[in-house]
Amino acid sequence: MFDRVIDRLPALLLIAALALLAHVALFDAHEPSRLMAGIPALLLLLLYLRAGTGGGKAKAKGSG
Amino acid sequence: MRPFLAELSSPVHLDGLAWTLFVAIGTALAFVHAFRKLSPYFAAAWFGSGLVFGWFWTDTRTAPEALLLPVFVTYLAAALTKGVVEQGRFAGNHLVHVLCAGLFAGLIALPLEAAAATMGWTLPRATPALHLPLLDGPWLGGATAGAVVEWSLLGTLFYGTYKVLDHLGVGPVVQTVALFGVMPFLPRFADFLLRMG
Repeated sequence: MFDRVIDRLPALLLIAALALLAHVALFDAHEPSRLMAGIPALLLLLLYLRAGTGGGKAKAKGSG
Repeated sequence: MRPFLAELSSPVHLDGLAWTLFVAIGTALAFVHAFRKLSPYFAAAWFGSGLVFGWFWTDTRTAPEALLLPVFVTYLAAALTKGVVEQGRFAGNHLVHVLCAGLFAGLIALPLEAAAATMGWTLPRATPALHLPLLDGPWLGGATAGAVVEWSLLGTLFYGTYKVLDHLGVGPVVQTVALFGVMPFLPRFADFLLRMG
């Protein structure tokens, strides 16, 4: 369970960034047009999820 | 009549402390991801050198979020790049990997820049004096195209430096020392490139 969460952390962190923008745009600034700043990141998130990553152990030393 | 979306309200108000916590917790989780998925050495090298980079890059060293945001964004960009690029035909192509990480860093920073600009939260630097009238507009949600270019440049330089040192064939000790040693000069190089633009 813990490893599955770790596997998905990059996607979860990007979702958190988008949620932060959504909260600011909708609830704090009341300017929904600011949501447009999240569209490129949302497309990147979809691209990442479509690539089906998250599973599998990366190489031990890790070249990033 | 005001649009429905503009009338939504929430009992939670995000202030500067929330922004600090967001960046700090996000960076800690990213460190955990690097530690578990790659190696403790990689996590220490990336985030340690990233902190050095952030120290020399930011204008507000007293704000933890300003110090941590560069290493958080660049790591997230590198992790997403690894997932996207290494599944296709460009697997193992380091140049494509570095360029994509730079591009993704700009895309990831865009919503964060827009949110911080809206709320007046602390960012590592003020908006760069890059004038890109063709790209600037309301579709950036309050951020500027110059900020996106700046973050893309940061991501490319940071990850490119790591990649170059990782593939020089030197030992891990020399590589780590060189990585940390280069970081104070990388912001100056980025400034030089931005001034050229």
